Amino acid sequence: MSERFYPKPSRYFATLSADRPLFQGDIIRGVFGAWWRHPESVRATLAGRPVPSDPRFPALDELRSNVLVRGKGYGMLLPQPCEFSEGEKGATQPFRVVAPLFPLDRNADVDHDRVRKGLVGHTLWVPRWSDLGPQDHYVDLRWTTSVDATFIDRGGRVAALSRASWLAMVDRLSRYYVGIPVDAAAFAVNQAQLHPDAAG
Amino acid sequence: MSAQASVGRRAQTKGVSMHPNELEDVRTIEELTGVGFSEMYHRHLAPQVSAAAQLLVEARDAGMELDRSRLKSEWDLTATAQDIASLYAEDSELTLGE
Repeated sequence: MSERFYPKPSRYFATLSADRPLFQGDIIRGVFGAWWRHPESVRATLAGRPVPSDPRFPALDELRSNVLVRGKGYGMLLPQPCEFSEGEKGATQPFRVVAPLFPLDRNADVDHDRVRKGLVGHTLWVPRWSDLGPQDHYVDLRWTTSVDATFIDRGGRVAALSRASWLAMVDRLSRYYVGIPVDAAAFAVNQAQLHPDAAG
Repeated sequence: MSAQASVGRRAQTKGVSMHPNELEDVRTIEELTGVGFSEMYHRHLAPQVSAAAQLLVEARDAGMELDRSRLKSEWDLTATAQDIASLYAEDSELTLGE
Protein backbone atom coordinates (compact mmCIF):
# COMPACT_ATOMS: atom_id res chain seq x y z
CA MET A 1 0.00 0.00 0.00
CA SER A 2 1.12 3.51 -0.66
CA GLU A 3 2.93 5.28 2.14
CA ARG A 4 0.98 8.35 1.20
CA PHE A 5 -2.37 6.90 2.01
CA TYR A 6 -3.53 10.11 3.67
CA PRO A 7 -3.19 13.68 2.42
CA LYS A 8 -0.63 16.04 3.90
CA PRO A 9 -1.81 17.52 7.20
CA SER A 10 -2.09 20.95 5.58
CA ARG A 11 -4.61 19.51 3.09
CA TYR A 12 -6.45 17.23 5.49
CA PHE A 13 -9.23 19.54 6.69
CA ALA A 14 -11.84 21.68 5.02
CA THR A 15 -12.64 25.22 6.07
CA LEU A 16 -15.41 25.26 8.63
CA SER A 17 -18.33 27.67 8.55
CA ALA A 18 -21.65 27.83 10.34
CA ASP A 19 -23.61 27.14 7.16
CA ARG A 20 -21.58 24.09 6.18
CA PRO A 21 -23.88 21.05 6.34
CA LEU A 22 -22.98 18.11 8.51
CA PHE A 23 -21.08 15.62 6.41
CA GLN A 24 -19.39 12.25 6.50
CA GLY A 25 -16.11 12.44 8.42
CA ASP A 26 -17.02 15.49 10.49
CA ILE A 27 -15.34 15.46 13.89
CA ILE A 28 -17.71 16.28 16.71
CA ARG A 29 -16.99 17.22 20.30
CA GLY A 30 -18.81 15.31 23.03
CA VAL A 31 -18.90 11.90 21.37
CA PHE A 32 -17.63 8.60 22.75
CA GLY A 33 -17.43 4.92 22.03
CA ALA A 34 -19.25 2.20 23.97
CA TRP A 35 -18.58 -1.52 24.33
CA TRP A 36 -21.08 -3.86 25.94
CA ARG A 37 -19.15 -6.47 27.79
CA HIS A 38 -20.74 -9.79 28.65
CA PRO A 39 -21.04 -10.05 32.46
CA GLU A 40 -19.98 -13.69 32.49
CA SER A 41 -16.87 -12.80 30.53
CA VAL A 42 -16.07 -10.07 33.04
CA ARG A 43 -16.63 -12.42 36.00
CA ALA A 44 -14.54 -15.18 34.43
CA THR A 45 -11.70 -12.81 33.63
CA LEU A 46 -11.65 -11.40 37.15
CA ALA A 47 -11.68 -14.91 38.64
CA GLY A 48 -8.99 -16.19 36.28
CA ARG A 49 -11.35 -18.73 34.78
CA PRO A 50 -11.93 -19.41 31.08
CA VAL A 51 -14.82 -17.58 29.50
CA PRO A 52 -17.86 -19.87 29.32
CA SER A 53 -18.55 -21.15 25.85
CA ASP A 54 -22.34 -21.01 26.18
CA PRO A 55 -23.12 -18.10 28.48
CA ARG A 56 -26.70 -17.29 29.45
CA PHE A 57 -28.21 -14.11 28.11
CA PRO A 58 -27.66 -11.42 30.74
CA ALA A 59 -30.38 -9.54 32.55
CA LEU A 60 -30.89 -5.93 31.60
CA ASP A 61 -29.37 -4.66 34.84
CA GLU A 62 -26.27 -6.73 34.20
CA LEU A 63 -25.95 -5.26 30.73
CA ARG A 64 -26.30 -1.76 32.09
CA SER A 65 -23.54 -2.30 34.60
CA ASN A 66 -21.12 -3.76 32.09
CA VAL A 67 -21.04 -1.14 29.40
CA LEU A 68 -17.63 0.42 28.94
CA VAL A 69 -17.65 3.99 27.67
CA ARG A 70 -14.38 5.22 26.23
CA GLY A 71 -12.92 8.13 24.37
CA LYS A 72 -11.58 11.60 24.97
CA GLY A 73 -14.64 13.40 23.82
CA TYR A 74 -14.32 13.52 20.05
CA GLY A 75 -15.96 11.27 17.49
CA MET A 76 -16.14 10.96 13.73
CA LEU A 77 -19.47 10.78 11.92
CA LEU A 78 -19.22 7.69 9.73
CA PRO A 79 -22.16 6.93 7.42
CA GLN A 80 -22.71 8.01 3.89
CA PRO A 81 -24.19 11.55 4.17
CA CYS A 82 -27.68 10.67 2.89
CA GLU A 83 -28.15 8.66 6.09
CA PHE A 84 -28.23 11.81 8.26
CA SER A 85 -28.86 14.62 5.77
CA GLU A 86 -30.29 17.62 7.54
CA GLY A 87 -33.86 18.37 6.54
CA GLU A 88 -34.25 14.89 5.06
CA LYS A 89 -33.59 11.52 6.65
CA GLY A 90 -31.55 13.10 9.41
CA ALA A 91 -34.55 15.14 10.52
CA THR A 92 -36.57 12.05 11.37
CA GLN A 93 -34.27 9.17 12.22
CA PRO A 94 -32.40 9.59 15.53
CA PHE A 95 -29.43 7.28 15.02
CA ARG A 96 -25.94 8.63 14.38
CA VAL A 97 -23.19 6.12 13.83
CA VAL A 98 -19.86 7.41 15.10
CA ALA A 99 -16.45 6.16 16.08
CA PRO A 100 -14.40 7.77 18.85
CA LEU A 101 -11.03 9.43 18.44
CA PHE A 102 -8.11 8.57 20.68
CA PRO A 103 -4.90 10.56 21.11
CA LEU A 104 -1.99 9.12 19.18
CA ASP A 105 0.28 9.51 22.20
CA ARG A 106 2.55 7.26 24.20
CA ASN A 107 -0.46 5.53 25.72
CA ALA A 108 -1.93 4.57 22.36
CA ASP A 109 -2.06 0.81 21.83
CA VAL A 110 -1.28 1.15 18.12
CA ASP A 111 1.92 1.70 16.16
CA HIS A 112 2.09 5.42 15.40
CA ASP A 113 3.95 5.16 12.10
CA ARG A 114 1.73 2.39 10.80
CA VAL A 115 -1.40 4.36 11.67
CA ARG A 116 -0.06 7.40 9.83
CA LYS A 117 0.72 5.27 6.78
CA GLY A 118 -2.75 3.73 6.68
CA LEU A 119 -1.48 0.27 7.58
CA VAL A 120 -3.60 -0.42 10.67
CA GLY A 121 -6.90 -1.69 9.36
CA HIS A 122 -9.22 -0.62 12.17
CA THR A 123 -7.90 2.94 12.42
CA LEU A 124 -8.02 6.26 10.63
CA TRP A 125 -5.24 8.74 11.23
CA VAL A 126 -6.37 12.29 12.07
CA PRO A 127 -3.70 15.01 12.33
CA ARG A 128 -4.16 17.84 14.82
CA TRP A 129 -6.99 19.96 13.56
CA SER A 130 -5.99 23.26 15.11
CA ASP A 131 -3.09 24.86 16.89
CA LEU A 132 -4.98 24.19 20.10
CA GLY A 133 -5.09 20.46 19.52
CA PRO A 134 -2.57 18.58 21.65
CA GLN A 135 -1.49 15.98 19.09
CA ASP A 136 -2.55 13.67 16.32
CA HIS A 137 -5.47 11.35 16.94
CA TYR A 138 -6.77 8.14 15.46
CA VAL A 139 -10.30 6.88 14.97
CA ASP A 140 -10.79 3.35 16.24
CA LEU A 141 -13.43 1.63 14.12
CA ARG A 142 -13.65 -1.24 16.63
CA TRP A 143 -15.40 1.21 18.93
CA THR A 144 -18.02 2.26 16.41
CA THR A 145 -21.15 3.21 18.31
CA SER A 146 -24.62 4.52 17.60
CA VAL A 147 -25.57 7.64 19.55
CA ASP A 148 -28.64 9.82 19.68
CA ALA A 149 -28.77 12.54 17.04
CA THR A 150 -28.78 15.15 19.80
CA PHE A 151 -25.08 14.47 20.34
CA ILE A 152 -24.36 15.55 16.77
CA ASP A 153 -24.81 19.13 15.70
CA ARG A 154 -22.90 21.80 13.83
CA GLY A 155 -22.13 23.63 17.07
CA GLY A 156 -20.08 20.71 18.36
CA ARG A 157 -18.17 20.22 15.15
CA VAL A 158 -14.47 20.96 15.45
CA ALA A 159 -13.23 19.80 12.05
CA ALA A 160 -14.42 18.58 8.65
CA LEU A 161 -12.61 16.57 6.01
CA SER A 162 -11.29 17.94 2.74
CA ARG A 163 -12.22 16.03 -0.37
CA ALA A 164 -8.82 14.36 -0.34
CA SER A 165 -9.07 13.09 3.23
CA TRP A 166 -12.70 12.10 2.59
CA LEU A 167 -11.44 9.79 -0.14
CA ALA A 168 -8.88 8.31 2.26
CA MET A 169 -11.53 7.89 4.95
CA VAL A 170 -13.91 6.09 2.63
CA ASP A 171 -11.05 3.87 1.49
CA ARG A 172 -10.35 2.94 5.10
CA LEU A 173 -14.03 2.13 5.71
CA SER A 174 -14.16 -0.04 2.62
CA ARG A 175 -11.03 -1.93 3.59
CA TYR A 176 -12.27 -2.41 7.17
CA TYR A 177 -15.86 -3.42 6.47
CA VAL A 178 -15.58 -5.03 3.05
CA GLY A 179 -11.92 -5.98 2.74
CA ILE A 180 -11.25 -4.24 -0.55
CA PRO A 181 -9.80 -0.83 -1.42
CA VAL A 182 -12.26 1.74 -2.63
CA ASP A 183 -12.45 2.30 -6.35
CA ALA A 184 -11.33 5.93 -6.48
CA ALA A 185 -12.59 6.62 -9.99
CA ALA A 186 -16.04 5.14 -9.39
CA PHE A 187 -16.26 6.81 -5.99
CA ALA A 188 -15.30 10.18 -7.41
CA VAL A 189 -17.72 9.99 -10.32
CA ASN A 190 -20.63 8.85 -8.15
CA GLN A 191 -20.06 10.72 -4.90
CA ALA A 192 -17.82 13.77 -5.38
CA GLN A 193 -20.78 16.08 -5.98
CA LEU A 194 -22.05 15.40 -2.46
CA HIS A 195 -19.05 16.99 -0.75
CA PRO A 196 -19.78 20.47 0.61
CA ASP A 197 -16.74 21.86 -1.22
CA ALA A 198 -17.87 20.58 -4.62
CA ALA A 199 -18.57 23.51 -6.94
CA GLY A 200 -22.30 23.93 -7.42
CA MET B 1 -25.87 27.47 -25.32
CA SER B 2 -22.88 29.65 -24.45
CA ALA B 3 -20.22 30.41 -27.02
CA GLN B 4 -17.68 28.51 -24.96
CA ALA B 5 -19.88 25.43 -24.75
CA SER B 6 -20.57 25.62 -28.46
CA VAL B 7 -16.89 25.81 -29.32
CA GLY B 8 -16.11 22.99 -26.93
CA ARG B 9 -18.68 20.68 -28.42
CA ARG B 10 -17.58 21.38 -31.94
CA ALA B 11 -13.88 21.14 -31.26
CA GLN B 12 -13.60 18.19 -28.91
CA THR B 13 -15.33 14.85 -29.03
CA LYS B 14 -14.57 11.56 -27.36
CA GLY B 15 -15.76 8.49 -29.18
CA VAL B 16 -17.57 6.00 -26.98
CA SER B 17 -17.63 2.34 -27.92
CA MET B 18 -20.81 0.70 -26.73
CA HIS B 19 -21.95 -2.80 -26.12
CA PRO B 20 -24.95 -3.56 -28.36
CA ASN B 21 -27.22 -3.72 -25.32
CA GLU B 22 -25.95 -0.36 -24.13
CA LEU B 23 -26.57 1.14 -27.53
CA GLU B 24 -30.08 -0.28 -27.50
CA ASP B 25 -30.71 1.36 -24.13
CA VAL B 26 -29.48 4.70 -25.46
CA ARG B 27 -31.75 4.43 -28.48
CA THR B 28 -34.70 3.43 -26.33
CA ILE B 29 -34.30 6.53 -24.17
CA GLU B 30 -33.92 8.69 -27.24
CA GLU B 31 -37.05 7.26 -28.85
CA LEU B 32 -39.14 7.58 -25.71
CA THR B 33 -37.98 11.00 -24.55
CA GLY B 34 -36.18 12.68 -27.42
CA VAL B 35 -33.08 13.00 -25.26
CA GLY B 36 -30.01 11.76 -27.12
CA PHE B 37 -26.81 10.40 -25.68
CA SER B 38 -24.89 13.67 -25.97
CA GLU B 39 -27.62 15.49 -24.12
CA MET B 40 -27.70 12.78 -21.46
CA TYR B 41 -23.96 13.20 -21.05
CA HIS B 42 -24.15 16.96 -20.70
CA ARG B 43 -27.13 16.88 -18.36
CA HIS B 44 -26.04 14.09 -16.06
CA LEU B 45 -22.53 12.73 -16.45
CA ALA B 46 -20.53 15.86 -17.26
CA PRO B 47 -21.21 17.55 -13.89
CA GLN B 48 -20.27 14.34 -12.11
CA VAL B 49 -17.06 13.99 -14.09
CA SER B 50 -16.16 17.59 -13.29
CA ALA B 51 -16.66 17.04 -9.54
CA ALA B 52 -14.74 13.78 -9.79
CA ALA B 53 -11.79 15.49 -11.48
CA GLN B 54 -11.71 18.18 -8.79
CA LEU B 55 -11.67 15.57 -6.03
CA LEU B 56 -8.90 13.51 -7.60
CA VAL B 57 -6.77 16.58 -8.38
CA GLU B 58 -7.17 17.72 -4.79
CA ALA B 59 -6.06 14.29 -3.57
CA ARG B 60 -3.04 14.32 -5.87
CA ASP B 61 -2.09 17.85 -4.81
CA ALA B 62 -2.40 16.77 -1.18
CA GLY B 63 0.32 14.21 -1.77
CA MET B 64 -1.84 11.11 -1.99
CA GLU B 65 -0.81 8.37 -4.34
CA LEU B 66 -3.71 7.24 -6.47
CA ASP B 67 -2.02 3.98 -7.22
CA ARG B 68 -3.27 0.97 -9.08
CA SER B 69 -4.90 -0.54 -6.01
CA ARG B 70 -7.03 2.55 -5.65
CA LEU B 71 -7.73 3.00 -9.32
CA LYS B 72 -8.18 -0.64 -10.29
CA SER B 73 -11.70 -0.76 -11.42
CA GLU B 74 -14.30 -1.93 -13.83
CA TRP B 75 -14.66 1.79 -14.42
CA ASP B 76 -11.19 1.91 -15.89
CA LEU B 77 -11.14 5.37 -17.39
CA THR B 78 -7.83 4.73 -19.11
CA ALA B 79 -8.84 1.53 -20.85
CA THR B 80 -8.33 1.38 -24.56
CA ALA B 81 -11.03 0.11 -26.89
CA GLN B 82 -9.04 -3.09 -27.17
CA ASP B 83 -8.99 -3.50 -23.38
CA ILE B 84 -12.73 -3.07 -23.26
CA ALA B 85 -13.22 -5.45 -26.15
CA SER B 86 -11.28 -8.11 -24.30
CA LEU B 87 -13.77 -7.95 -21.43
CA TYR B 88 -16.54 -8.98 -23.74
CA ALA B 89 -14.52 -11.63 -25.52
CA GLU B 90 -13.94 -13.84 -22.49
CA ASP B 91 -17.22 -15.59 -21.85
CA SER B 92 -19.64 -14.64 -24.53
CA GLU B 93 -20.13 -14.08 -28.17
CA LEU B 94 -21.03 -10.49 -27.61
CA THR B 95 -18.99 -7.92 -29.45
CA LEU B 96 -18.64 -4.18 -29.23
CA GLY B 97 -20.91 -2.04 -31.33
CA GLU B 98 -19.62 0.59 -33.67
